[in-house]
This record gives sequence, structure tokens and C-alpha cells, in this order.
Amino acid sequence: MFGGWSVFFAKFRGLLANFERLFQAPDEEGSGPVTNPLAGYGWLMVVWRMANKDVLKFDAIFAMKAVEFLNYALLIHDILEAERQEAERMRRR
Amino acid sequence: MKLQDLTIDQFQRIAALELSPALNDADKRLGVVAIVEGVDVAIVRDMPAASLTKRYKEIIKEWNELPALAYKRKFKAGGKWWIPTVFTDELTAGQLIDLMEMNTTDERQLVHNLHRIMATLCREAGWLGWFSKKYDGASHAERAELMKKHAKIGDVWGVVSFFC
Repeated sequence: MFGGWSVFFAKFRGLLANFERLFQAPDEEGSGPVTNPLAGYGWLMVVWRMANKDVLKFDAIFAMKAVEFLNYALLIHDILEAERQEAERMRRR
Repeated sequence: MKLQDLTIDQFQRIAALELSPALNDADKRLGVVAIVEGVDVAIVRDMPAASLTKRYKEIIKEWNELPALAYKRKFKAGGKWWIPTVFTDELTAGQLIDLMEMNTTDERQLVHNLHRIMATLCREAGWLGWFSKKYDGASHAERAELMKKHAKIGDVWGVVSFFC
């Protein structure tokens, strides 16, 4: 009976599925590599980082298009992942 | 009262009755008719069984016709004009973050969160509803309460049907 809503959220989930790397669950064991550095952040922290820690830029970020925002979030995800791998390499040396 | 003139709040109460595993068909019928007519259950209980069943069937017919409702580019609720976002590529980051924080995994949760979802998808419109204002995440709870009490299901459902 609520079929219409299901269609909307199917499209919404379809949008998120394009950025699936952002939504990978972190490693459950806790000892292995963290697959999603954003997992410990929360979305507000993503905005915080995107705004370069300047709260005055928050409004501009909230007004961005969702797709654009997810692209930037993915970029931050990749940067954090690269930093984590680099730190891991340094630790092994 | 027609089903499409019900508020989101009344609609959520009907859905809670319809989806309840604890109630039998007769109880659901009584509750749904009482909510739609805006009267006490005791009054509905005194109705003749034939007219109660007839009214319930009319409501179900209207319910089934909901998906056919036309999409409205703007609608009025609580004395203000609202413009819904109907395409996912029109969503802003603020709307996206608010939507991701809601449980939308099953129908029960969707209906339960309907007022919050509409508060996220709808932006207040400016003069005569000609343009939408900036999405205001800070007043989300206040907007959700307004939607719950004043938005008509006929206006809301059209937004959803747009995607079908």
C-alpha cells in the first residue's frame, strides 16, 4: 500500500549505491585494516573536515548538491585511507 | 471527510492500526472509520454494521486511489507554501544528511517517519510559493511538527507518486 514511497527510496538508495565505498562497514574484528575511515567520523565531522574546520563554511556545504557533496566525501575518504596506509607503512619500518 | 484531506498525523494513526498484528479486522474497521470521521470510537461502535462496512469500503477505495493523485509542484500547510524536492539530483547535502539519519528500510518506518521525511524534502517557499528558500536544517524538528499537524496526505502523496 505504500508502494510509491518504496520507489522514491529505491532511487535514493540507488544514488547512495554509486558511492558504496563510502558506506562499507568497518572491520568487525577491530584488529584488521579499517575499511572505512569515515565510519568513526560521522557526517558532521565530514562537513567539518570539508569546511577546513571553519564553521562559517557549514552553510555553504549544506547547500551543495548531494552528488557533489558525496563526491567530496569520497575524496576525503580516499585521502584518509591513503594517510592510514602511509602511517601503517611507517609503523612497519 | 475524504481520505486525502487527512493530516499526516491521522494517516500515521490509520497505518498503525492497519499494520497492527494485535488487532482483528473488526477493531481495525472501527478505528479507521473513527479517525477518518474524526469521532470517538464509541460513536462508531453504535453505527449499524452495514453502514460501518460501507464507509470502511469507501475509505479503502480512496486509499487505493491515492497513487493516482496528481503531483503538486507546491502546496500549502500551516499557513505557509512548501515546495517539495522531487528528484534525487536536486537534493542538497543538508537534505541528504538528514535523510540518511532516518530509518527508511521498511514501510512501517517510512510511514512512522513520514512527517520527518516531508520536513526534509520540502523547502519553505517565498512569496506566493514562487521560489523555494534555502534548506534550513536547524528548524527541521519544528518543520516536521508542522507537517505532522497540518500537511494533508493528498498533497504529500502526490509528491511520492511522482516517482512511480
